[in-house]
Parts: sequence; C-alpha cells; structure tokens
Amino acid sequence: MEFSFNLSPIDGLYTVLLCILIGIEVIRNVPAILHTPLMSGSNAISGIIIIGGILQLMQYDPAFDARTIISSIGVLIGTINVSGGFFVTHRMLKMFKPKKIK
Amino acid sequence: MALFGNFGYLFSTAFFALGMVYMGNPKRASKGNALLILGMITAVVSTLGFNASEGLDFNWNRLLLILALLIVGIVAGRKISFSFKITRMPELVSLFNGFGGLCAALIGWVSLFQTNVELSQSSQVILLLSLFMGFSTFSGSMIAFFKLGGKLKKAWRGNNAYMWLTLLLSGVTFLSSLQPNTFIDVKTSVLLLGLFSLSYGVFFANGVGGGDMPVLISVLNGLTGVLTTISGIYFENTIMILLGVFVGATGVILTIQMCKAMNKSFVKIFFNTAKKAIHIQGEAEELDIKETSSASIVADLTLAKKVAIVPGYGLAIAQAQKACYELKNLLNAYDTDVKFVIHPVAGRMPGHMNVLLAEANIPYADILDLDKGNEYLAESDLCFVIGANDVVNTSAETNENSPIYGMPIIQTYLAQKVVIIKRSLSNGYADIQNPVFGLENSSMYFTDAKVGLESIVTELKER
Repeated sequence: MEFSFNLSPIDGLYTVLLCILIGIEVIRNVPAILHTPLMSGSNAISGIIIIGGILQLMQYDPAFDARTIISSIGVLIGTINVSGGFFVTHRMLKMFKPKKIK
Repeated sequence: MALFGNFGYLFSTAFFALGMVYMGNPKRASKGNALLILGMITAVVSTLGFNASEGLDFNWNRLLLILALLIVGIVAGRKISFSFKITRMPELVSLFNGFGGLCAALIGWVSLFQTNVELSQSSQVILLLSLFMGFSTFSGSMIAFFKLGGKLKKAWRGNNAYMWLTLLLSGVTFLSSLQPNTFIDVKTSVLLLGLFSLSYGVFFANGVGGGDMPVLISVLNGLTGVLTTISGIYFENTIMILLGVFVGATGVILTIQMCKAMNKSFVKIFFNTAKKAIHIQGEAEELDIKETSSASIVADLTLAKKVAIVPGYGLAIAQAQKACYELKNLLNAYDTDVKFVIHPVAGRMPGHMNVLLAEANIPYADILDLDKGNEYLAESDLCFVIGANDVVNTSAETNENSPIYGMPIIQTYLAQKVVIIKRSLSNGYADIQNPVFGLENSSMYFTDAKVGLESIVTELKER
C-alpha cells in the first residue's frame, strides 16, 4: 500500500470545506475575554507557512544563490512570528490563571 | 518513511484541533497554547523527516541551515515578545502578524523563480496572489503597529484615492506578471507588483481610524490565514491548508463580531472613512458640564452599594488598571459590589480591556459584557467612565444623524450617578460630541485616570 503525500483537488476541497466548518464552530464559542489570546495564538500558528520555506530550502539544488537567501530570510522571519506569537500568548494566559490571594 | 511524515501531520493536526478547542476555555487556555506549540513542533519535525526520507540528494548543509534559522528565530521571537510591556499587546500582535505576511510573500517570490520546475498557470496565479497579499499584509500590519504605538496619528489627505490607485496598479502588474508581454519582462513586473502591494497595504491600513483598530487587526490576522491556505494549496501541504483555514476563520469571526458590536458594515470601515468626522461638527450643542472633585466622589462612594466601572482605551494609556484593582478591593472591603463593564470594541483590539484588567489581577467573574453590564448599571448607584468615550455615547441611540447611530452602547445613564474621569472635554475617536457628559446625573472629573483613581483611593482610605 502506497502512502501518498499529495492530495487530489477534490480531496483538497473536502479538507478546506470541513476545516471551515470546524473552524467556525470552534471559534464562535470562544468568550470575549479570550479574544486577544486567541488572536495572538492564531497569529502564531499562521506562521506554519515556514513549512513552505523549509520545503523550498530542502528541495533546491545545492547552489547557494539569491533564492536560498530569500527563503532563509522567510523562514527566519516566520519563525520569529511563530515563537513570538506563542510567547505572547503564554504571557497573556499566565495572567488569566487564578492567583493566590495574599 | 513517508509514513513518518504523514502520521506526523496527523498527530500535529490532532494537537492543533484540540489546542484550538482548549483555547476557548479560560481554565484550559494555557494547556491549549501548549498543545498548539506541540502541534507546531510536530509539523516542522515531520516536514524535515519526510524530506529526509525522500532521499533525493539530501543536503545536510541545508538541514543545518534550517535548524540554525529556527533556533535564531525562536530566540529572537522570545526576546521581542518579552521586551514589550503587557499593555502593549496589540502592537506586538500586529508586529508578528506583519512578519507572517512578509514570510509568506518571500516564500511565494522564491517559488515564482524556481528553475527546476515548470509552473502551471494556476500555480502562478496562486503565487502572485500570495506575493500581493503577503506584502500588503506586511505593510498594513506595520502601519497598524505604528498607529497603535501612537507614532502615526493623522490619516493623510487623499488616502482613499491612493489606496484605489495602488490597488489598480497592483492588478495591472499582477496581470502583466502572469502573461509574458512586450511591455515589461516578468521579473520587473513581479518586482513592481511587490512595491505596489507594499504601498497598497500602507494606504489600506492608514485609512482606518484609531477606534476601528480592533477590526483592522482581526482583518489582517484573517488575511495571513487565507495566505497560509493559498500557500498550502501550492505546496500541496494539508497542514498548511488546515491551519490557514483555522486562522482565517478566527479573523473572519472576530471581524464580524467587532462590526456587529459597532453596528458598522465592513465596507464602511475600510472605504468610507473620510466623511464621518466632518458632517457632525456643525450640530454641536452647548453641554451643561458639571465638574466634581475626588472629595465628593469619595462621599458618594461611601454611600454606594453597587459600583460599575466602564474602562476604555484611556485606561490603557494612563496605565490605571492597578489603581482600578485597588479601588475595587477597597470598596469590596466596605461590602460594595464593583463590576467592570466592557464594550466589545473598547480598546484597540478584540479583548484588549480583558487582558488589561487580567494583568491587574481582576478576576473575570467581575467583568461583565454589554447585556449583563447594562442590567447591572440599571441597579448601580455610581458608574465610573474611565477613558471610554464613544462606547458610552448616547447619540448612538438618540441622534439619527450621528455616524455611530445604531451602535449598541453601554447605557451609563441608567446608573444613579455617572462620574467621567477624563483629561479634557475632547471628543473621542469618532469625533462626536458626547451628550452623556452633559446629563443631569453625570459629572466630570478632569484629571489623568491613574492620578485621579489614586487620589480617590487615598482619600477613601482616610475615611
């Protein structure tokens, strides 16, 4: 049995459709007090785009040229987005935790 | 070994989905964030692992390069996120959002000029689209970043015209990049597209005024989501599509909620900003303003049983959230109930006030939303309006000509007494006079929010 990494276009559409439905359902129920952490969290995960840059860097011919540099900058900036976003979310959520009263 | 990559993505998807569900629950949100991080790590590791397993002239140098970039990126991201004060969160979010856009644009750019793959027409469209959206999201987010930091205040003249012009030019260069033609070669055309999209983002974001900032930020956030989906389609990568859609959904839903809360249509906020300030100024009426002092406020406070506090962006600027907390504690000690009433669009991003109050240790049980807040206000003896303006403006209910007419507001006038702490009588972002200031039961306390609250707290302690 062959495991393929590729999607046929119709599979892709199914995925997108289901994701939209799940995404809307999940996010609609988030209370207002969590909107800011939700935003910065989703901001961080949109940095998943670095996977595209990683794929590019892995696929190219070994020659080190302008494209390599641009991809590298892309991955670097994307990683800053990801880690920064998660750290910010973490900082915010830490404040929401119930604290001991002194 | 391809199995490794596929199952890695499966696990990663599960982590992300569960993480998003957890993010919707105040008690579990921290775990949710951890799950999201786990999902991200799994996704990156599986991508690397999958590629390694392909075995096609695998390049170890590149792997090292990627690892180095990841480490540097993580350290830099951590440094940036901790170098900002927690009250400047909206700025940080838009800054990082811009980085995401730039990353997508650069990756799209590189993909356009690969030598070893022949691009189909549809791939070209996708890549050019991600280039356009990436660059405009980047510049738009940077503008939002500077605006939130207070470094950029006034919209430029003719901003709208420039916005349409750059959009048009982007469209033209988009088409010319797609179709080889005699006028311009593809490389120059793509470069021009990049420049025009950058300037389009600037004008797009700059046309949005300070009070509409929550909408702008959610829109930009949603755009990076769509961008990720588009790139995911090009790379035929399920996890990118999936997460892109998740982020896109967040952006869209928050945008809709914000627009609803302001009773403004999306189009109005982004394409019709120039008009509103001007046409209302002619009808300003004389308001009967009564000033009050901390002494008389304290006298009222000692008699009050229920107190409501309506915070706004001014509270964030004055950094008065800790003073609010002290006041609340002090009043609670006198058996006085204190609740915070938060309008959905108070502040500069969705949930801004909640974060601010959480920083000052105010439990979220004491924070009310619009509907519950208005019910509470009807029973309360005293209401503080601290640094909020448009969200309590009654002309949204009474004046049909008002640009904010129809926006649900916090009905402060329901309270027995209203005290407005404000530095001056200036108008709010929407630049409309606020009739609440002149109501019979309201009085103004002209001071900085922090200083004012602190002096109330000290006098209250002396009683």
